Amino acid sequence: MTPAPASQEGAIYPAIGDTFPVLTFGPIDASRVTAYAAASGDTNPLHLDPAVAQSAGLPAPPIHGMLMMGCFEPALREWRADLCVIRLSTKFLRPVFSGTAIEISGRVVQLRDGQPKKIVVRLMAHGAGGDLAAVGEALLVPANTEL
Amino acid sequence: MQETLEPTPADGRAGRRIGPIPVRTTAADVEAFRASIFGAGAAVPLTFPMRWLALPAIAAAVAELLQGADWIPVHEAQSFDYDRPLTMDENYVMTVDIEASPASPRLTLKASIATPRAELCVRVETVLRLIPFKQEGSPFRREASA
Repeated sequence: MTPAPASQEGAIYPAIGDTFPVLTFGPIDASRVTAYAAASGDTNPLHLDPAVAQSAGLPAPPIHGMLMMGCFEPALREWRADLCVIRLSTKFLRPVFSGTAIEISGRVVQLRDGQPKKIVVRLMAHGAGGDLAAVGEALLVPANTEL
Repeated sequence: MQETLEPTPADGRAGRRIGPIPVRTTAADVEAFRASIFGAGAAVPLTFPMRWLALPAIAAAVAELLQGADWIPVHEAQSFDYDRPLTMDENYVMTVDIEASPASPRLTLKASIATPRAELCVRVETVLRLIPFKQEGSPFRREASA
């Protein structure tokens, strides 16, 4: 990835098409899911009890979609700690089951003009077998920007 | 906390406003949340407000809007739109509008989180798709209201 030259206030903007290295989170085991349930307050038994998951026709408890979405933020920080996320959205497509890992990847798809420019990054979360589990979009600006 | 039953729109949707609810970015809560999502650093995670959407007042309003139907809520979409970041160990106020649409069927929660001085920090939107579930013995099963 080759950052584009700074265009304002010393900010180094990525270029459209830039990608960041795939980051793997997990395997996300039951203890991680339990910790997320406790920390988030989302104690839906579907995520925590294999018998409930089975009664819903699932082979294992699915991890919380929000746990998966939460991994977008550390992935973005790992890529560019000098940028700040001001909007993050996600559509959840498929469940990822407890005991498997998720892979987070991203690509810059747009630079929006403005003061400062806003960087649009398309995000993807893949589960076991390469299934696309969630797609997201992040809007970033240089850190310490006054909005 | 105030709770207001909004007029039912003409298209059959039902809505409810919850709040303002006082909420706080308590350090221990933030740190536990951050650790659970592989986070690092000292900032409040972007997705931390989900913790507040799990408050009992909101869960109760959701259950009431669903009127006893058997359902599994499936998280379909989520967004966080920040005007200013949340900071650690600060008080905020949250107002949540919940809308149920029997035609879809989906449930949408739109939360606004602001400082006590009414400076908007973040808008949160959650879309839950509701899947019918009628299996006997299910913890999701709810008795139909009389």
